[in-house]
Amino acid sequence: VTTLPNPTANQVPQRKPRRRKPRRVFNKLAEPLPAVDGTDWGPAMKALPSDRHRAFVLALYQIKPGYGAHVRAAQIAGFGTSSSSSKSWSVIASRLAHDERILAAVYEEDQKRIRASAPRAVRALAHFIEEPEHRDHARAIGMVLDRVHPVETTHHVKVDHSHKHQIVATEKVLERIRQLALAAGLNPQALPPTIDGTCEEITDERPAT
Amino acid sequence: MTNEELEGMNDEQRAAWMASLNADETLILHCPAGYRFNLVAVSYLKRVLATRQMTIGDQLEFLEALNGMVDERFTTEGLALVKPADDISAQMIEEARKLDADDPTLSRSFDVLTSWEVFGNLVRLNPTIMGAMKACGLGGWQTACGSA
Repeated sequence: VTTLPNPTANQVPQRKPRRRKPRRVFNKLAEPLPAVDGTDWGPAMKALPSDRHRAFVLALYQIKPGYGAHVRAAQIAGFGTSSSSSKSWSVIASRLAHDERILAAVYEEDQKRIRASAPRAVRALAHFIEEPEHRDHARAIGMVLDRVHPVETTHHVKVDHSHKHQIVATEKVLERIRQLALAAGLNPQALPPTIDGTCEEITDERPAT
Repeated sequence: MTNEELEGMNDEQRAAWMASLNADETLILHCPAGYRFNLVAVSYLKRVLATRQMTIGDQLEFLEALNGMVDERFTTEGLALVKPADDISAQMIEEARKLDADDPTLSRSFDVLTSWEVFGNLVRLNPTIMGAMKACGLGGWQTACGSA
């Protein structure tokens, strides 16, 4: 019986190539947010700890809103590392999105942007008047205007007016009473004399004797 | 005819009863309940204005309310025709008002005062209510058109 030689018998077993753990690279903004002449951050944006936080707020307005928007904004703003897992990203994004300082900055930026879009809304409103069949269009415009001009459009102050007006027996009032009485078929002269002043309820409390 | 007797009637009995009514009773029957209530309220308000002392503000308010009851059917002429309620009528109205307690809609007193029996008695006690109904044609569509 002849045996076939094993071609690999004398070969040194090859080492499995060692996989190197990729080096973790911290994300960072390519460059600091540029300062634009004539503009300034609002107080809430200024109060944020870094440009990355400000970039996160700004990124929220650039990316498509919806599922994963916060994560994407965090990535754009330079948070996390090259090796952050999906779970890490969700934690980072959630922390940022619920940070009180970020929320304040978003609110501030909302106000600025909505105000900035007011002229467009007004122009669109004029357009809508010409084309009244655009219902949804009008609703959207109304929403914008409600936020831009809250005092004029949505600020309803309810005052409970409990004070009773005291009517003074002027010539005008007496003449009005005379006219009304005559119209109702009553003799104004026969009406009982009016009483002056205000009435107070008196409790029948007598001191014990 | 009492309210209970009316409620106990079937359709045939009711038709026979309606056929037996005279002109004035037919007018009352066809007068809308809202106008019946207004006529009673007018007579009572006039009594209050004529008998009770009040501030000038209350007097003006009552008179405005009185004149505010006028509409295209119940005219100023009809308003002027109604005389103030007498003592018995006023007592009936005040007793009916007690049924409402704190109900601002006056629904209980409305039902009582506009019922056939009570309103009929109020008209008998104050015939000027009937005069106003005739003058304004408040007895339903037929009388408003002058055919009845």
